[in-house]
Amino acid sequence: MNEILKLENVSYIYGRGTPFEKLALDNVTVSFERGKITGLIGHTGSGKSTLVNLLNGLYKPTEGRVFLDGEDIWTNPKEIHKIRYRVGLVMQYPEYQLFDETVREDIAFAPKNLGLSEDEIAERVSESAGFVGIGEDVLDKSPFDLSGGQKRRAAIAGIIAMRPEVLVLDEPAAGLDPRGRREILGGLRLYAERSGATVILVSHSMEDMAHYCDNVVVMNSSRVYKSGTTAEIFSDPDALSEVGLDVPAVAKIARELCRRGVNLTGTLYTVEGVRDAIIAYMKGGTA
Amino acid sequence: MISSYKKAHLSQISYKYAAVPNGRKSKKTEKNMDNTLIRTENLTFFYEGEDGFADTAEQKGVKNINLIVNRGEYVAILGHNGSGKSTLAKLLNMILSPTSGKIFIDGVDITREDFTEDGVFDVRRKVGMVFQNPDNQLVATVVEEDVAFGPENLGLPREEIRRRVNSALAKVKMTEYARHAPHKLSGGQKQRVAIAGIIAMKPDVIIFDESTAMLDPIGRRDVIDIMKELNRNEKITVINITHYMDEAAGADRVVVISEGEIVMDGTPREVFSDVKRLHKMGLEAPQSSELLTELNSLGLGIQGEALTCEECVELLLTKLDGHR
Repeated sequence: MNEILKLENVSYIYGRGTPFEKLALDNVTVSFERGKITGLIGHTGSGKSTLVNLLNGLYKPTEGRVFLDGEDIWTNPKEIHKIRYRVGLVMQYPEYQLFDETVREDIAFAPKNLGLSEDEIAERVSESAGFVGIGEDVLDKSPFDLSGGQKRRAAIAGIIAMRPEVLVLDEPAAGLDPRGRREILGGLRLYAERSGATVILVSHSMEDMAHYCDNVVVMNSSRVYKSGTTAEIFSDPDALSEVGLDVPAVAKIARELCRRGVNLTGTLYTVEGVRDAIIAYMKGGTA
Repeated sequence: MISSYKKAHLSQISYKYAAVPNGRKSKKTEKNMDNTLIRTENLTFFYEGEDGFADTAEQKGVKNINLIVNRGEYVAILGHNGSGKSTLAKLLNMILSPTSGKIFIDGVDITREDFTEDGVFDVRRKVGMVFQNPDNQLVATVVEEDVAFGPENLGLPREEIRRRVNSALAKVKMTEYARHAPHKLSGGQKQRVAIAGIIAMKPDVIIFDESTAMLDPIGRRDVIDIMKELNRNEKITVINITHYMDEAAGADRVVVISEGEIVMDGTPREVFSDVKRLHKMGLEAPQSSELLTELNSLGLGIQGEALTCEECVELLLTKLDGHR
């Protein structure tokens, strides 16, 4: 695997040496593939938020090392802020962090801090607005006049404008209706494909994971429970239900059909994939 | 006595817990003979913008809503972001007052001009609400004190408060956490405490306004199970506003709101059979319905609807049997 980010034997302990000491990550080794979308799933308290905060150096591992593009990010702790430009983190409900007078100014905030020229800033603003589907007409509006979905996209554009090599998003589609989810997640996939950037997506929605991710990492009890391609992860529903997670409904349908003698093959965890598998099965059956 | 701390909070969170002055006898309203709990007549609400009446992109009003919810029903309300579904919920327990139209709760017109403040409190006791973010709804530092907050403000005797708190915590399966600090609970547990706070008020109906949106799968399942149990065992009417189609599939009835108006109203089976119409409104159907619609659009001609995986498998097998 061509890995861009790697955690090697990383442990993280909250409140070390206090009575509230808590082991949040326990000797975790995991890699994220360059240019791909990797989903990160797991329950509250499974350690996924801690992991996210380690990826861009917000937290320093208690033990173990974090590598970005082969380099230990903590080699020079004084330069850790530079890692944060390279690994962009979009927190939950990022729209609460919008602050400027216009959407354009808000998205330009990070590029300005990078000390870029006016032309370069303008280029980055229109580029990142384009990725998330924010039109020119919206750029001069106040971010507070936008709808919930638009605000969320504007906030994500503000991070993309730094052109991070890795974009990490914590529940980017939470609280949005199905169309809003599609716009945000579809936009991220376009962004990954066109820019070649790596995307790491934290989500509770198995349907979204199945639809948008190339790889999936499953966290449980402070450890990596499973990791692999989306197909590998969703082909084993029993393993997921063991840690209280579910597979998409269509994956259950496909699995039950297979059990009852309908041998389907293909992408058996998205609606489109199961549809195509059924059509192929019928053609094969009649031929 | 209500402490000053609580008074300060009451102004902000009175929608959660109705406050009724001490010693007030609950007044029996005119006998409501039929089964109707909520009825709206041409209910309309506009958000007031800077230039007179204008909706913002974020908040949309509702137009001419005629909705009847019967006692004991389990209704899901679907709609895209900004469709007006939260506005409707806020109108029903008087967080907002309608621009025009009428609302009857338990036979009482709560929109009439001479409606008293006591009446407002009574409506908020009857119509409980659970919101999206559990952190915005808990006020006390101990779980059982939080649940007791509402009944305390009803001016109930100590023993009665104790009884209600214990029973409410048992119903949401949080008894063992009675003495815990709310901020150390998981999202799902916090939501269950918030629900217990509502149950302790003995409401007729609980409106869940995207109460599962911020929860992980286990937390979501727990809250959904509680909703179902309250409806089945306690006969509490449930209105669940949600973006999750599988939650709606488990309701007795699904109401779809788009652009501030009710556009579909029927059983989940009826509503989810029209997948194309749902898509046009930015919504989806459960994956089983989506799959059948996809297959039928390719000419498979599968008859019937499937809300669950099992139904879908059976329907598909009848079609596929000839190919085995």
